[in-house]
Amino acid sequence: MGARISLTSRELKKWIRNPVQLFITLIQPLFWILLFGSAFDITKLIPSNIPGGSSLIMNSFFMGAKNYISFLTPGMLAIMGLFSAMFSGMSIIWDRRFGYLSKLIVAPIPRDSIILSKVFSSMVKAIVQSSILLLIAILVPNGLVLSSSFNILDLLLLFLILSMLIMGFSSLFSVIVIRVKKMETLMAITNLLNLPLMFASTAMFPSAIMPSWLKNVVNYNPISWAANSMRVLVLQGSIQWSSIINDLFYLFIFDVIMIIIVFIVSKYGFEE
Amino acid sequence: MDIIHVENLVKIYKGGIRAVDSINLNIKKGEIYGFLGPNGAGKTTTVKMLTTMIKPTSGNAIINGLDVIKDQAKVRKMIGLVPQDLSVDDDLKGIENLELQASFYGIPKDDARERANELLKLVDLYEAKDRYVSTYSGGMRKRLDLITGLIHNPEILFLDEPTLGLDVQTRAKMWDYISKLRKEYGITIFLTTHYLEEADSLCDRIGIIDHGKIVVEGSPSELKAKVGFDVVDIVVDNPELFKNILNDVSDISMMDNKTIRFKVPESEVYLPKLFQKIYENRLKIQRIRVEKPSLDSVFIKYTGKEMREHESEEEIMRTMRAIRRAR
Ligand SMILES: Nc1ncnc2c1ncn2[C@@H]1O[C@H](COP(=O)(O)OP(=O)(O)O)[C@@H](O)[C@H]1O
Ligand SMILES: [Mg+2]
Repeated sequence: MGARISLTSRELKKWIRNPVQLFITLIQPLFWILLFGSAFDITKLIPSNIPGGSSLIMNSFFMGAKNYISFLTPGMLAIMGLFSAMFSGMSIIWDRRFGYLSKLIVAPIPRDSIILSKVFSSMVKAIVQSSILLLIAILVPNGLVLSSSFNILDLLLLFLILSMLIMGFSSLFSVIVIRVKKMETLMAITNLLNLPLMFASTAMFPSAIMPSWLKNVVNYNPISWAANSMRVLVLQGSIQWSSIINDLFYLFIFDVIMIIIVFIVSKYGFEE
Repeated sequence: MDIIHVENLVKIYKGGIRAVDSINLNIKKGEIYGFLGPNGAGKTTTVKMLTTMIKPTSGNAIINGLDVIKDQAKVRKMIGLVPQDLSVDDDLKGIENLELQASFYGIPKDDARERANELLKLVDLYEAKDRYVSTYSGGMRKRLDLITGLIHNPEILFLDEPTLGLDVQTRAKMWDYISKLRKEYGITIFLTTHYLEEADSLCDRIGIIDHGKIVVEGSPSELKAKVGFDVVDIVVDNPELFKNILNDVSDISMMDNKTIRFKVPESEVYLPKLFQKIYENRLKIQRIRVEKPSLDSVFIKYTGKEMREHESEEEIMRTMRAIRRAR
């Protein structure tokens, strides 16, 4: 366990000392929340002169959110998780480029610790980042309205869900880049994956308004599982187990599969 | 028993490049063994195989009785590696790099700190240990890299081009540190280099490697002896008489009016006899100069080319790397 812990703390040390990464990871979801949430508040399109209509639509399409920001924020937490995972994947390439990886490969440490330290540290980072993001979303004018029954347990479960999402994705990215030597290659891969993962999910829009072909895709996207379940926590509070248990289960399976892949790939993957 | 024993080691990379072509090695405990060869000779590839980073295509390598493939984990505990390219973490402090490295070997924190301080002092980095490595000079980084490879007190230290990219003074200092390490800890060192002077001044034994093959092996003086000749320049008061008493030497020539040059296999043995004859013939020596062969001549003899050609190529690579690093 030693190397897994000390390498994780190496990642966290570097992260704390270099706030640029925190800033970059936050800036895009923040931008989406502020721009989309406030400026392009699609819920404003609902005519208010239909008696009871507006709340009917908000309830059936937007899970009873008071405004679009409230709907969007949990989705953006998931997207931010995706970015964090991407960063952790990238840092394996940095380690390779700056020679540190050869030290790790020659050391008598479990191979998986090289990847798992990235995974664990990005989970910790995400908890800090999501707290900041939540706070900003609440503080902006006409911002996130939490459910009145939202409590500390909901918050902890939200962190857990986010961590599960990140565990899967940072494992995925790390495994993809394990042999990649060029930064450009990683950029191409992440661009290829990030946008579809982001838009083919319920992070920004409810699946109810999507065409059925897209719905099928969206339902298999781990980002949707995380976004949906975090949304339930934020908008309905007091842990509605029945509405989130499926998503939690899928995320769990996603993690188990990815971690197994990490163990297998890391065993042979670092060799040239 | 030899601490490193290698038999017919081969590495063929994807694409068919035969980087290491059936080499054999026997290195004794406590020895400093040098792999001398130009760029692309297969030095790094050999080091990578011996340090379990890559698997050989065929052949055996036994380190301290352990097979580098079958006993990978045990081999890793026993060896230290300072790779060709810097491998310290710039975003950590000097001491943090050492402590992190120590954690890989399960060394308790207090012991790690004690050992780290000792090593830091050895290479004159103690004062800088709490600074971020990003503020270190190239030479300081290389020294830190050197001692991170030693934190767990390895039996064998692998140094892949330990002075690559350093200026002449820093390089000489690095040699001092490496000699000091051997003196202090009696550690076995396997080093690679493409600097002749480095191999000459540090190594007990040298293998010259070219195109993946060891072309010749021996101590620096043995290797030089293989080139065959010491060159002697001598000035005596009666050159004509002197020439008559010279025997068993070759290539006698007059350099100028007075200086006679000749070549002799072992001047240490030959000259005392010569002096005796000079004395008997009542000649007087005015000047004498002996030039021992250099590794340069050895290299040319066995590879058919000069080392220098490759050095300039390496110089360019180094500059390019430096530019890239500076971003
Ligand atoms: N990962 C690799 N894949 C393919 N060829 C390689 C790889 N690494 C090194 N080589 C080739 O193997 C040969 C030996 O390289 P190397 O061991 O690095 O030489 P040296 O360290 O003596 O400069 C060179 O021709 C080099 O191009
Ligand atoms: Mg090399």
